[in-house]
Amino acid sequence: MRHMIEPPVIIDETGDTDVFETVESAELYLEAIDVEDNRFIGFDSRGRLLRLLPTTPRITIELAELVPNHSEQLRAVLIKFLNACGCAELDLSDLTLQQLVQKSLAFTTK
Amino acid sequence: MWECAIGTITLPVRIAIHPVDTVRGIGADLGMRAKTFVDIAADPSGAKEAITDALFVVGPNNSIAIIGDAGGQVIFYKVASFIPTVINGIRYGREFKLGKNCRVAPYGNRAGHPTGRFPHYHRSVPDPKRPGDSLPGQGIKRHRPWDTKPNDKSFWDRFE
Repeated sequence: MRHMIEPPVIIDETGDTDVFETVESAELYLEAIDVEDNRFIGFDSRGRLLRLLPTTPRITIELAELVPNHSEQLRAVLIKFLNACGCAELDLSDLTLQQLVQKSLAFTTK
Repeated sequence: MWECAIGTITLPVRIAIHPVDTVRGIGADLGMRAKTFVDIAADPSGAKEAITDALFVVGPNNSIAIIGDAGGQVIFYKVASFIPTVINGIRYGREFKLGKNCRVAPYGNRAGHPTGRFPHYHRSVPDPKRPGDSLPGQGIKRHRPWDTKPNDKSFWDRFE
């Protein structure tokens, strides 16, 4: 299931969002203690929910669903994220999910 | 026989120079302490009188010196018991929670992240407009003060 994830990986923490170019960079950045506390919700670029597992020394990310059932939720997260990053001059709500994902790549977390 | 109370600073040196005598001394020291504890437990009021008598016999200066030695031993045990915690913290990059929204990693992490390996802290800054949410870029994920975020407006955003 892991190899089917389509990057970037978007991790939302109720208000604070991070976009990771690869699954590996997300696994490297996030910490198991926060995953155990269920602080994050993760999506791949198509809006498929991700399953975050608190493994050590790094967390593990898997696909939780095959069908993108969370694309609208991901759209809302990305619009809020891009607004916070200073993209407010555009009418982001008119963009497609793929366009929003492309724009978010300018603000990835390393 | 060597005088070598457990916890004294000179103990490791004495063990190296005279191992047999020192170990024998430790045995005698422990035996004496055990007997004292048993005597105190058996007759507390008698023990109090015995201690008072001993203070008079030993004299005020020596009494203070003995109490000082005992205090030094307590400090030694406290420090010694903390050493394994520090070693494990360094080895595994342990973090310490300070409430729900703050953690400290004094030794950094061992997951391989370029900034996470340095000593850092995590803090989620609450959004006053949305109770329960974090401010954008100010979530618990961030390795402070090393990480930068696209939402940062000043250098001090790293230290929120």
